[in-house]
Amino acid sequence: MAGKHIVVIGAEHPFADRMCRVWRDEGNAVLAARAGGAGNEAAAGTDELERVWFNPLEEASVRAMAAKAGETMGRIDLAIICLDNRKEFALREGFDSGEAMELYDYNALGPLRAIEALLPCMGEGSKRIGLLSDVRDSLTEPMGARHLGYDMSLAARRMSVQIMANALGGEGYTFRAAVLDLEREREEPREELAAGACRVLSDLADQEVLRVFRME
Amino acid sequence: MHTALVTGADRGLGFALTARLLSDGWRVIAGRYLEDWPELPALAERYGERLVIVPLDIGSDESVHIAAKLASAQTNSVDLVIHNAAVSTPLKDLDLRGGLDYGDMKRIYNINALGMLRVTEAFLGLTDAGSMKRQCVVSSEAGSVERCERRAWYGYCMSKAALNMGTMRLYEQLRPEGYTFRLFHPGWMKTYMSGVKSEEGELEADEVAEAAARYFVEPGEANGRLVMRDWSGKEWPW
Ligand SMILES: NC(=O)c1ccc[n+]([C@@H]2O[C@H](COP(=O)([O-])OP(=O)(O)OC[C@H]3O[C@@H](n4cnc5c(N)ncnc54)[C@H](OP(=O)(O)O)[C@@H]3O)[C@@H](O)[C@H]2O)c1
Repeated sequence: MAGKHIVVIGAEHPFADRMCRVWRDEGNAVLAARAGGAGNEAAAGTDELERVWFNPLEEASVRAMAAKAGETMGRIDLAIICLDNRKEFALREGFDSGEAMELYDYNALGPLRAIEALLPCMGEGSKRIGLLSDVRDSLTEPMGARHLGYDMSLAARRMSVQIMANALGGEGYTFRAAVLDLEREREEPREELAAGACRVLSDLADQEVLRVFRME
Repeated sequence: MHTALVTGADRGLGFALTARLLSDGWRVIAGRYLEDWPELPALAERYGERLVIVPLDIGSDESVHIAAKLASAQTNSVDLVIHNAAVSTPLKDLDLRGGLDYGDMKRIYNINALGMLRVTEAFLGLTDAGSMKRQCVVSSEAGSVERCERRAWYGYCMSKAALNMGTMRLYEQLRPEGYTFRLFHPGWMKTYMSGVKSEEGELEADEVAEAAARYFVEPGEANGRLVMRDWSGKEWPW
């Protein structure tokens, strides 16, 4: 795939950063939307990726990110959501409802804020919305209870993707989720896995409304 | 005598379950959310000390902890917990084009998804000492991703999907300690989720409570795995 305009949301994560580079090297225009705040710029390195910083918890900040995407790219073909905030806590070990709410706000509502803000720029593009998820969003696989709040936020996000697909599928939008097997808990992301995730998220030949891929 | 805790017991399914358990001989700790709704006080007149009414807002850490303390003053153990309380929203038709109300979505999540965890944790001392160690969670078909055909109502559906996940993870954690679980979709009921009594639902809360109470108290784990069942016994996919 080349010549597409791609916004990667949550591009501060090493795995998402790899994906940005894969797409850029293929010849696409990539905007790396990195969640964080002032002072984090240094961590982004000094490469040539076009980037913007934003706070997924604040609607105004998300709208500013989307405005910058619109200015720099005109149309957007692919919006790829890689937002991920993970914390461990379990019942009997200091479950904190405030932290659980933060995880929902970030992992489940952050993507909705971003997509809502980017939609006006997507109508003329390829209408692909991609999500990088984690096997912890599965109710059928035992994962233990250490990531209780995180896992719940992922289940909520999975539901939101289904509703979005129902709502926007009729307008030609397609949705892809690449489900990683705890990959983002590794120190160093694997290059071939990032390339594989890029492939499934950006395969535009397949126009099925929603597909979920387990990445091994 | 067995003791149950029911959240959101003022009206709707929670009230019907409270009445059913009392008539079956249980002692019930009923979480009261509405200050001046008359049904629980009327039951108290009939059942005396077998009905313990405690103020309980499952959306508040403080309220849940106070309720657990009040319950501890009345009993040394709770055998069965029914996580029933939940809210919906008048903003259910908002979508991505019209603009979602994120504050409302957080309000719903705080009650529908996190409320169950708050209550479970605060009452662990009492349920650990109980003879049944049974956690019953009233969820909804709206939490089934596989069956979801809705184009809006994000906040409620997301909260119930998360509730299902939370129940699954607690099942993994607490089952080795002897806990058993029931996850339940009550069907479409004539209750008060919209603020006034619905005339459109298909089922009366009383008939659902009868089926639910049977399912909630029967011994053992269904097939050794956690499933979501509806009032008719049908299994729902995740
Ligand atoms: N009704 C249906 O068709 C249907 C379908 C599927 C699933 N369900 C589920 O069934 C359960 C019972 O619902 P229902 O239909 O009986 O609803 P309901 O008539 O509204 O009863 C729920 C009760 O919980 C109370 N409540 C609200 N917020 C609370 C809080 N923060 N803490 C404690 N209590 C609170 C409600 O008070 P207010 O009235 O003031 O809110 C109400 O008294 C819920 O979990 C619901 O999601 C219902």
